[in-house]
Amino acid sequence: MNPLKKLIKWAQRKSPWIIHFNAGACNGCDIEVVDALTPRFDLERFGVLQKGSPRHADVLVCTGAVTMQTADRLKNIYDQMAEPKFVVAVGTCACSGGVFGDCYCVKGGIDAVIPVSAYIPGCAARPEAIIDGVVKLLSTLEDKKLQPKNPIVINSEKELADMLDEAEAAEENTETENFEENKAKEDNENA
Amino acid sequence: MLDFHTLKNSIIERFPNLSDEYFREDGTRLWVKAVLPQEFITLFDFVVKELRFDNFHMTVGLDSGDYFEIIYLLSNAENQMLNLRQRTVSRDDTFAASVYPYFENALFHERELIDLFGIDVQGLPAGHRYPLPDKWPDDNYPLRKDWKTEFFDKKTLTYDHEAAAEAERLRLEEEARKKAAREAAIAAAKAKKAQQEKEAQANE
Ligand code: SF4
Repeated sequence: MNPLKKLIKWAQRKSPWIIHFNAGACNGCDIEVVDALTPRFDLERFGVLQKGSPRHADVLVCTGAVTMQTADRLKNIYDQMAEPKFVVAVGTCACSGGVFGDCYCVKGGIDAVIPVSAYIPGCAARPEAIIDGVVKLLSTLEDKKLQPKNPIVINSEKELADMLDEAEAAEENTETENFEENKAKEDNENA
Repeated sequence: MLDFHTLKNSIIERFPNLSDEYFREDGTRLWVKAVLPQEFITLFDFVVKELRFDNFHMTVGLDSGDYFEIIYLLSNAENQMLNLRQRTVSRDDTFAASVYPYFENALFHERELIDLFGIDVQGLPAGHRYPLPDKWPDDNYPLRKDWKTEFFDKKTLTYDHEAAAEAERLRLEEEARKKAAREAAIAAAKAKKAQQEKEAQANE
């Protein structure tokens, strides 16, 4: 691989800059994207920065189904981005059209207009899932290719549900243990 | 604070052709039935300037079958709501007067009525269409009841009028068949009941 490409890849992997575009979302997914970027979930710890111009961005984060009015604009923004570029579809609407799919002015998912490298379903997609999607996308860049071979699909709902269950169970256990300990202590003191 | 009864009477006093049945009270809200554009604009003027219902909230478009209606939601400083309605003459003659001279925030509501219902709202300033796409074909009004998304080809942007007419014919036929079947069933049940009563009388 020539050194320049290597450098670009290194920079992209360490600090991918994103631009967020709402192609016709109900705003639910946009809130989650903003949530993922801000300190509570903090995508920025992976070097991900939100940029104002598509010319500065490596990753196009799209939310919502594509309407007839936004289709041309989306294509335009995609064309303005410098190669190599990636598109992440956030939310069920962006993946397939979702609840708006049959609406009179909706063309379908993001992939009806531009190629997509990662699909993150969920209505709205969780910030954890968005982070997972972006990080997985970055880790595929470790391979020789500049574009992932197959689009990444994050099936986070089940994984996350399991994780949350585990966490809750663990929390409950510690709570009950503490409670028992405290009680034993109190009993001792009283005695 | 005026109660709705006095409000109603003051409107009727000014517009004698609006009878009592034009009004309906509903908790905190007074409904007025639909009037034609020429009369509507004087009524609107009176309500806004003299009865001081000077908060304009929104408009609602309505496809009533033979004509279109626009509902205007107004309120006054005492939080009383007044719903005025304007109607068009027919489905083809869709002229309606604009309330833009009174409330500038009506602009986008009325542009929506033009685009989505095809109501010919007169008196708006020149400007872009809203909210349908720029390429949207004329004479396609998606919120009209007789416009169905199934018959609209999103690729070529054409509406299949023949298929729509055919589907409508089938639907009417099916409805008529169901209605006939229901009526037959009701008639049979009635006949059976009469028969039973007769038998009971005979037994007695
Ligand atoms: S996936 Fe859900 S939250 Fe996201 S844009 Fe669609 S409807 Fe809104």
